[in-house]
Amino acid sequence: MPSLSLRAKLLLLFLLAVLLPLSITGIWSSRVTGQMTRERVIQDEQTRLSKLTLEIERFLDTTLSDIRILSGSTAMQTLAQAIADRQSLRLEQLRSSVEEDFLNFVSARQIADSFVYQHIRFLNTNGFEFVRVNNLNGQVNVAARSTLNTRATEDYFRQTINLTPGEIYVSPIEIFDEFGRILRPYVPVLRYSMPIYGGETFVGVLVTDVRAEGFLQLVTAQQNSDGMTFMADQTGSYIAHPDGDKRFGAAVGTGITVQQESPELSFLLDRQQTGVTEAGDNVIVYESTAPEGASGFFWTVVSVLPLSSVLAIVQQQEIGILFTLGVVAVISVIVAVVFSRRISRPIIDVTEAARAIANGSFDRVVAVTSRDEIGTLQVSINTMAKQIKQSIDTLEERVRDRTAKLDDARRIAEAASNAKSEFLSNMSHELRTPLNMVIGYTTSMLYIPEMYKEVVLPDIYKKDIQTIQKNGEHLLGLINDILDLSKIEAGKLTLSPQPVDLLDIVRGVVATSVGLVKDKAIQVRPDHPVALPFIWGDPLRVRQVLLNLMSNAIKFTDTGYVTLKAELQGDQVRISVQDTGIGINEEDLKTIFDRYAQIQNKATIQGTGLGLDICQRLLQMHDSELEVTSAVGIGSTFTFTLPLATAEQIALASDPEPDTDVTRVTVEVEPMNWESSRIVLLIEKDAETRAKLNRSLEDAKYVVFEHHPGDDILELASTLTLDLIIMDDATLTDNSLSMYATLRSHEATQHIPIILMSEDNQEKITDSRTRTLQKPVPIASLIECVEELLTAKSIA
Amino acid sequence: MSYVMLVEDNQDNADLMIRALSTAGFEVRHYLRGLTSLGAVTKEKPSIILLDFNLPDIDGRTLILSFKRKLGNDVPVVAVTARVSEMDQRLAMHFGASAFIGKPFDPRELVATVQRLVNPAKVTPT
Repeated sequence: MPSLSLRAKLLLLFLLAVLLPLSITGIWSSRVTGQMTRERVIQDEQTRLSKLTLEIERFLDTTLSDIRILSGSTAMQTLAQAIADRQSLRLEQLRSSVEEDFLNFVSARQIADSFVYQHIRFLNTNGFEFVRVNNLNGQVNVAARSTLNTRATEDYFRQTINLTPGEIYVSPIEIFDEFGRILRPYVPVLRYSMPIYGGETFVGVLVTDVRAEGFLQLVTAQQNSDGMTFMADQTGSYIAHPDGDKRFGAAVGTGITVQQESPELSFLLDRQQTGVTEAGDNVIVYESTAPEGASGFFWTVVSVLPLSSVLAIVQQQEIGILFTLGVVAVISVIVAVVFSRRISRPIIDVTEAARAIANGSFDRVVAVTSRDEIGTLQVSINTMAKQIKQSIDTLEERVRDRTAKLDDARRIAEAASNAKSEFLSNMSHELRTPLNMVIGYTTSMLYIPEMYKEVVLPDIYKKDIQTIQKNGEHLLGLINDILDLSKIEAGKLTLSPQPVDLLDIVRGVVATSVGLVKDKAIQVRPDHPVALPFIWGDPLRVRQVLLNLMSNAIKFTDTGYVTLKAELQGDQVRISVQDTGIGINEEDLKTIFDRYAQIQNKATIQGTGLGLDICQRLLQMHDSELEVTSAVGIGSTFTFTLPLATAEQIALASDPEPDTDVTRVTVEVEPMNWESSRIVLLIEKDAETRAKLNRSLEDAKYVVFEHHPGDDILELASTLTLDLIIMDDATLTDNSLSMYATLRSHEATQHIPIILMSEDNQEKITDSRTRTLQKPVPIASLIECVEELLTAKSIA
Repeated sequence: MSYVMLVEDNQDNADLMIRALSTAGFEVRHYLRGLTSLGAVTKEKPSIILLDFNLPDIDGRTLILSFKRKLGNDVPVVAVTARVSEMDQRLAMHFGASAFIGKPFDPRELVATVQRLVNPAKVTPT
């Protein structure tokens, strides 16, 4: 989540808030709708089947009442009475009227342009046809007497003769056959038969053959497009089926039955029933019916609806719902995108502006887009940026101010520091000259007797002179220390770090130290492993530090040991100088490395002089630190560590053995080619200008000799082997031209090129060896002029 | 006879050097000012010049260059100075000094240096 942008979060939130309930509602409603749809489809089918059976029953009711009407007709009743009364003579006449009656009846009963009845018969008590009206291929006629036949063996006759008056036998549907031959297309027939009485006497049987197509076609006509509706009887034979050839399997010999085709529907044959079930992939809706008075048979109308077609409807609805949902979702997304942009855009703008402001673009202004909280934020950001800018401006001003003040302070401090260094440096030089007398003469008196005409000094003098000489040397040491310190302080002392053979240095220092012991009862002891590794440092300075510490230790130890110890500690070497001398009291330990403090102390205190301070400074330049522990009367230990040289450092160092003589540096310098050197005499009264010109000329590799007020110019010019004179004519005011004239007229100086720096631009002198430049003289043009004159001179 | 030109503004120093060098058998002519010595050098033709690098009238490098220009490389110039820093030594050597002697010096060292430079063949390295 944290990586999502604000806009993405808003979008997500919005979509979650809209799409989640939307989809839940959608899925729920599609489920419910699906269920409802399914139920409705089944219900519709049930309703349809109910209507269908109702229609069938109505048809059958009509045919049932038809036979009653026929039996009760005047012609029939009259004939029956006549038969009962054995009025043979009337029979023929009455038969004709019955025939007419039947004929009319068959002709009248039509459904959808086809006759309902196939035959209507009246059989006598023997089962022989007395009257028959035929409907053969749509032709209704009275059967000729010759075609009348016996029906005594037919089921309907034999069943009917046992019936009481008014009872009616209803036969199952049979296929009509003509003399044992089944007609095609099949003519299924349902027979009603009823006994006819003349008074109390059974006179015959009335039989109506109802063409079952009249109602069976209702079943086949209403075929569902996806499913199938058929009707079967209790034996499993199809009575009505979209595929006509499957009908009457038992009667026509195909043997096709429901139980054979769809075993799962066998239960339908058990009894009359109405209901819904699922079998396989189908929904089965069924309803049984039977004509009134049916003798142990019934029919079941079955509608087979494939589940897929039901589901298809459901799916169609679901698709509709989902489509609607989709449209709503898309609209939501669009709305969400637009709204999240409208909300997030200003925030992103504000964020970017804030970032820009954080990066220093304080002029960045955020457009105020609304009057709501975001608008307030935008205004606040702008105000903030303005205030920050103001603060920074103020701050910068202050910083500039302070910096300037600090610069001033630094300059003053530097100047003071430089002045101090300069003073120390000069002082030490000044001190050297008188010291030269002290040391020089005492040394001479002690060691160059021939300077004194072989005069032999009495011992008492000799001892005093030795003291003077020794103290002279001590004073020289102090002066050297002052020089060293002033150099370190001025940053003029630089280290040359390299791999250093510590063992070599330790041996050298120990050897030198032994020489310092003289007549004291001190043992100088080295204490270190046989092999010492190379360390990283400036060998000259490491040696200086060690020598200093050792001589210091020896100086303040009368008896005992001075130990120089070196031990490995990880990637460092710990070096210490331990003595058994007078020690340092706690008070003095505090100031032992404090420069100059010791100078004021009595010389009897260990660490007097600047040596320890120099050691400390030199070690600090090595990123190390000199530490001291001491106890009065027991001794002192000075300790420091130096890093080991890495293998890489050793490999890189070409020569790890430099000159390690501290006291006398032999400098190897390539001497300059004095023949090509150029000496320029600079005569300029203003010290600042003079210094500036001097620097520039020195940078251009000229050797500059500065004229100082009081120097005799002519003497300088004639004695020094000058190449050029640069003179400021104002310096010499009244006599500048006369000085120029003197130089030009003098034999030793007349050939020297001269640059006159003049206040005005007037060419006062025309001389090929002279140039006049107007002040202030730009350095570049001065150098250019100098070079031009010197080139001309060397050619001449 | 080797003649040593000594340019040194401090009389006491000069005396010490003269004493030491004289004892060693050198003739020393002493000049207090650089300009004077420079003016005299062409005529006097010294075997060696001992030059105080911090004279008040002429600075050491101008002086040493001028000596060189007048005498060429034949006459060695020894810088004798109280300014003993490495920088000062480098400067002197750069401008052509043959040796550098810092003050205070051991008179024996001074004599040894002069002897070495005046007659290199006679001195065997120790």
